[in-house]
Amino acid sequence: MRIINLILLFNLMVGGLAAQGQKINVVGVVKDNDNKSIDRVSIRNNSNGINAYTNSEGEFSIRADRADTLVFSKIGYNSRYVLSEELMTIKIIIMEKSPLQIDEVLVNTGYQKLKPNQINGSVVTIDRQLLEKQVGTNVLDRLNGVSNGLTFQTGRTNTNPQNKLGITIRGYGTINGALDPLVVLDDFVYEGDTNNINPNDIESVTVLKDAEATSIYGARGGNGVIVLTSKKSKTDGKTRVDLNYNTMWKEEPDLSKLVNIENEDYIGLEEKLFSDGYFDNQLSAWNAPPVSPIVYWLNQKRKNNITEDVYLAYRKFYVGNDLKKEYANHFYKIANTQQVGFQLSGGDIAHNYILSLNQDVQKDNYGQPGNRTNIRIANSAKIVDWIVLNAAASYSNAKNESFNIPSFGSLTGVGERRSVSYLSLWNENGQAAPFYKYYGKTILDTVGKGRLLDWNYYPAQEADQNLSINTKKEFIGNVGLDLKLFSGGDLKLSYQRHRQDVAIEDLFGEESHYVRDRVNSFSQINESTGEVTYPLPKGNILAKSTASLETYAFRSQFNFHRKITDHLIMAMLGFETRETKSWGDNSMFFGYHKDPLFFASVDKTSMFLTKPFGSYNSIGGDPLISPTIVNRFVSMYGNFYYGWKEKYSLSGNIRKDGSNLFGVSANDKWKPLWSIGAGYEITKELFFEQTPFAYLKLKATLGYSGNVDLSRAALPITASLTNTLVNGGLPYGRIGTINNPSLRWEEVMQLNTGVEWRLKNIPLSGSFEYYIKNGNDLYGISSYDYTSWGATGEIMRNVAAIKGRGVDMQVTYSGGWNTVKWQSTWIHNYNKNRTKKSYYPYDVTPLSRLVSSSGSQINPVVGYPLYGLAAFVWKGLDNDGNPQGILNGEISTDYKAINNSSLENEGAIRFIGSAIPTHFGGWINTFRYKQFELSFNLSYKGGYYFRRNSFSSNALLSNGTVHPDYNKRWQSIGDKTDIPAWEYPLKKEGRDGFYASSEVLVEKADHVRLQFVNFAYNIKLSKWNMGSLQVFANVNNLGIVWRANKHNLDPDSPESIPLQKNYTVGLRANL
Amino acid sequence: MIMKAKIYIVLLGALILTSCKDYLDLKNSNAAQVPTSIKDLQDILDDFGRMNELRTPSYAESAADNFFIIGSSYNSLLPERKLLYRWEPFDYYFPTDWGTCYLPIYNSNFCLEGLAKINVNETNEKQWNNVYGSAHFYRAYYYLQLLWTYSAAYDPKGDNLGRGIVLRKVSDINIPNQFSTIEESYKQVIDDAHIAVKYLDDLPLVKARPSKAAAYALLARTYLSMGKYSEAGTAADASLRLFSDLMDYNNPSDGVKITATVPFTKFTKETIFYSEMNQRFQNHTPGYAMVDSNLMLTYEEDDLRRKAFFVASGKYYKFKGTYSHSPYWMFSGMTSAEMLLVRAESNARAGNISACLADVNLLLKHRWDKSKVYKPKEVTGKVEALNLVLKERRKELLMRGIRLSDVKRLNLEGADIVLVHIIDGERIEVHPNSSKLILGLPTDVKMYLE
Repeated sequence: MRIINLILLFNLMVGGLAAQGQKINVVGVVKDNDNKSIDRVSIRNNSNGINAYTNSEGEFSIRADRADTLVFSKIGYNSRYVLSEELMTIKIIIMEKSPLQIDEVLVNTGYQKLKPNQINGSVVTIDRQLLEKQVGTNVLDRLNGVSNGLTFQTGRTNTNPQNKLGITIRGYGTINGALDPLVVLDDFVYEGDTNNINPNDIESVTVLKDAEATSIYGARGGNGVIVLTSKKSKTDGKTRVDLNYNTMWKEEPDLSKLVNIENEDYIGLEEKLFSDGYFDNQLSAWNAPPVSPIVYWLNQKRKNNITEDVYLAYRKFYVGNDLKKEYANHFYKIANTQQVGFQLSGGDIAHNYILSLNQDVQKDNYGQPGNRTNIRIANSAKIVDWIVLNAAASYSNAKNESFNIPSFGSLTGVGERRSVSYLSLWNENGQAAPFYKYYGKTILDTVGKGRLLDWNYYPAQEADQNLSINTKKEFIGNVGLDLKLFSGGDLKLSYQRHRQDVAIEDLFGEESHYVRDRVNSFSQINESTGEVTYPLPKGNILAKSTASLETYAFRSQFNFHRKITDHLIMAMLGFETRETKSWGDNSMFFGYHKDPLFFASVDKTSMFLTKPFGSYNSIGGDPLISPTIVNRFVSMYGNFYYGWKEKYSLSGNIRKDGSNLFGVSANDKWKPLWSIGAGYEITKELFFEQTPFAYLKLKATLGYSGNVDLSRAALPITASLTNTLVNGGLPYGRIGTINNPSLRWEEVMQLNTGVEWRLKNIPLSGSFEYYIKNGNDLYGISSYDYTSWGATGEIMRNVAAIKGRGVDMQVTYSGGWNTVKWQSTWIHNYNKNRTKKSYYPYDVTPLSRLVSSSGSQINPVVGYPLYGLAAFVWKGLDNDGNPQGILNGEISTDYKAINNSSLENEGAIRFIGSAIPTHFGGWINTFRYKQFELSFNLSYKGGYYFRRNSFSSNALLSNGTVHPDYNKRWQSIGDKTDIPAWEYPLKKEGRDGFYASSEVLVEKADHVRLQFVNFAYNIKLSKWNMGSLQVFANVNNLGIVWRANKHNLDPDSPESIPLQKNYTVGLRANL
Repeated sequence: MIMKAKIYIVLLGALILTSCKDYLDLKNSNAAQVPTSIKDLQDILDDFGRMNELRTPSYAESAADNFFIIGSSYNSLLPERKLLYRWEPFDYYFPTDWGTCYLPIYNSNFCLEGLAKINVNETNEKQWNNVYGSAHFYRAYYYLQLLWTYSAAYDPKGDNLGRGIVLRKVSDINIPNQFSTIEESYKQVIDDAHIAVKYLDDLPLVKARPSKAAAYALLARTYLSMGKYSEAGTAADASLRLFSDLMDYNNPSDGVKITATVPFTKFTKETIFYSEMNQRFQNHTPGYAMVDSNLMLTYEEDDLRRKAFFVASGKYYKFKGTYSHSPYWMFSGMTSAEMLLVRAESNARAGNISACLADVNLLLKHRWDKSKVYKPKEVTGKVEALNLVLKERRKELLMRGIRLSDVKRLNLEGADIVLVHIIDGERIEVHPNSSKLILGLPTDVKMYLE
């Protein structure tokens, strides 16, 4: 409803009333300041929409009433509005060249639109064409592999809830802070879910990389900035309709990459362990924990409850099972996503509009449906000669359903055994089989003596029972005024409001295991009457939660632009304020029925004796209100650019941020973030004319941007508690987070030097940039003079530091042979970092912290990469098949001592290298032949390492995980293998841990992927006086084409489900 | 016309720029409690876990002479504890005696800064005064504890320009710390304690809270350790006028269970202010420590403290007589008995023998087995009176973190108390005025302060 109102409102604003009168033929000549006539100037009669153009002499003629306004416009010139009456007397219309040459692609930094050669900083723009080469529903995903300097860090876990994107720009600038780059949508910071954004609305994406580009974002630009710019209408007076449709299929996940040993071997091991008495403790435990089926039946056989023949029949059944196949058949489907988009745009400089509608419908690999609707409308209207009003609104609504289907990995868990591979979704009779995850069969079969609900868990039947619905609504409204105060001086006022509401409803059906389990657990049985009461009632359980986010932002910015002879001066000065508020709540309803509406009132706080083990628990599920978080920022910023003869340029930024997150002193102190830059377009020099370069520019920038951790506050925070009765029982408050008035943003320093070039005779161009990126004042634990507080020996402060450097380079060839056009771009990035300062008081051998890590998390060890890998030096297996390392210079199997980080142990550990790519890039190629177009992208990552899994006796015993390396293990002297012997009972503590962290299991991760192949056929519709039509087909995630490791592992997802291939066909039409 | 409009727009912009004061003062989460009200500040001072319990320096007793460790126990001690037992310097790190004292000082400063932002009026004056007085009390109390452990004794005849402690008076952790002289440090304690006297109520709601009686007691302690005996006596007298309850050890209804493992309740009848020693240094705790044999001999047969304070362990005795809920949580607070002894000492030194004896006998009568006859103590002359008081002081106040400062103070007057430990026949001595009784700074603080 609100949306419709808005559309109406916009249309009212747009509409002009035309006066009726007498038509005449108006004629004249259009000239520029230098008295040269201008051709192809569009003349539009605003009242009746008639168009005309000037001829090569600049002459025109158009029909109009006396009172009509004629709009003269041409790219590169300021438009003019002239009353046709005036043209009776004046026959020459002078059009001034507009200061900005709009015919060039402008780079939108979020604050300014600049010509590429006016930028001394490092930015890269991904245009519409490149964005359309990939087809996902998330616009940021389309940057993968095609954006110079930007990496998708796959497989990195992070505990900081602010990290959602998994994208880094030029590596890392922080240790404990937020890692995500800042996302800017239409000039304002975007804090919603990027999945809300309709990729078809995005005209271009600009990635800001160096300090010059990011420092204007101040305390939030430190991780780089991704600027998304929505489409705007062209201003040539034409009305356009764009349509697009595509449908994408995603193949089923490939479970075969999850490794396990053959069922026969696994069962054999269980039988061996059973006969050795390994399971006896569990089998006789009072709580009879779940055991795997083989162990259960072996035990029944031992108790003579079943015969050997019955056992063998079960055994045969289990050996024959293939859970992966069953799981895939039962749960997996080919996923499909369809996107339909419609866009209507038109208008001229006086007024233009764009309306876009988009609908996505999808079913994922579990057949779980989802959809998303986007509506966007944007208008721009010249109110009077010097005021332009811009207004835009967008709305998105997404709904995703989930059936709560158990993951494959979770099904293979039986009690403490984590990967029992021979289970089946179906029992011997083809009925849904129960899985024993938490309680053993013995317990569940006997606990209620038949008076409780069936307590078994049947994964095959679960999917119909649960439904989780996630709805997300987002509204963004922008209003702006562009005021032309004087020639070259503009004031831009803009305001944005953003709101996102997420609601999640988890409905657990009456028959779901979750509900039966909880109902049974709280059931009370009166043993004398046999009556069962249900404190937690039977029926559905509904859990609801909401989370909302609201942002207001206001910006007032003055732009100055003047060219005096050879001097070009541009400057801006701005003020910005922004408030982000988030809140939410949770609630839970029992015995819920939707229609007729019913839910039970439940005692959620009393303690009940629960089944099966008789502990006292309360039902829980009291409603909860999440804290309301309000973040405020006030910023002032400025920027200048001075160019001389378009040859030399000097530029700079300055920005000061204040926030309620920073300490009082940080706000008070005038410590702005700044940058300076210089550029030298050497090809403008006379002496450079004889060289093969058509364009060569040298540039350098230096500056600072910041990185705010929105989760840290500078205020003292107390917790309210109560003293014990012995102490008088008074309430008290304890300061948990100390007041630190100096707490502030982290600082990222960047020095960037670069060269951009284009050749004269060969269609080759490119850029090369070298940068140093250091993170200073990073949040980190540090020792301090605890005289000042005394509660802790260490506190979190702005103390840590990292150093990084790297190279971004790009070479583009666009040429071809006769009718075949070939465009090829090679992007190569290099980035390396190491921890410079980080406090960690306890270890003598800091490298040991890189041995114990998997490399999936930041692990700051001074002198080493943030994501580093080290490993125990490997000295082969001894004569008992035990791995050997080094202890005090000698070969040793004393794993505990080798692993003791508090001892100095020279030579026991070797630093391997980075666990994230240090070299990465892509090779994007497009071939055009007549109407055909073929493109593909080979992307690569290199200069890093990963650990592969292997067999561990300890894992086999403690959680039943048996890696297939088991089959290649050491078994007798002379065996040529690095896989330690199967050992039971375990003799030496830490043996398997040593092997798992040893250098034999570290592999080079370098690999090349075929990221996408795109085929398109373009049909010109000009015959029918329409635009064009493109039909395309796309395949992405085609997989690895080369890898350094010999184990056929995907280094980004070793032994886990790899990214699935997507197949898309679609069409785009411009009418 | 247009020009005018443009000017107005620019002016409007300028107005917005200047009108956002206070905009950034909003706290960023409504779940975060930022203490600002008087009640919030009182709650911070009522955090007894941080203001009273496990706070005062354990070195004060661990380096004193009320106990010894037998050889076999000594050999199993960790290296740090061995060095401590030999009064040799060692590196030690957080948590420390230093840190445990500066935490309540931080809280006090935090509250004083908070109070400065609150206007006092008729309705809140009482609460404001209590927080204001309490904060000054706590600060002074822990300054004094730090002085006893980390500084040389105050010389009433000297200029006391030696290194005192850090007199921290702000909560901002970014403001660096500096040492003050001994003279400045004691002056600060006295100034703070006087403010506490002025603002606090006579008696506290809970004995973990400060009161006027406690503030006078603190003054008495301070003056005594400065060797200013007449002022000490006046302050002790003022404290006793407000609060003079004594436990009769014969009387279970006074909260004494002589033979129990834990003979006393947490806030005893005679406790003026409750605090505990931290457990950083544990040489003196009943794990290994045996009560000094000579000290044991000074307790007469009918003195109930023999049973209440000590339990036999082989040939020796272990201490169990702390006024807390466990023998490992050493009481270090102030009692009316201590005030009697301060007043007695002051009177003895002034030559008021009978006044001195009255206080000593009053105390001892409350400690004496009532089935036996208590023969009041008699002395002739000032010296004898002083010796009696000092002996009774040591007997009553052992294991309260007082002895070390007493040794330093008395040796300055020429008492010539030599601390001795014998380890495997090796005799280790600390002679009067040795710097060994001054604890060195923690290694992790030293780098910032020295």
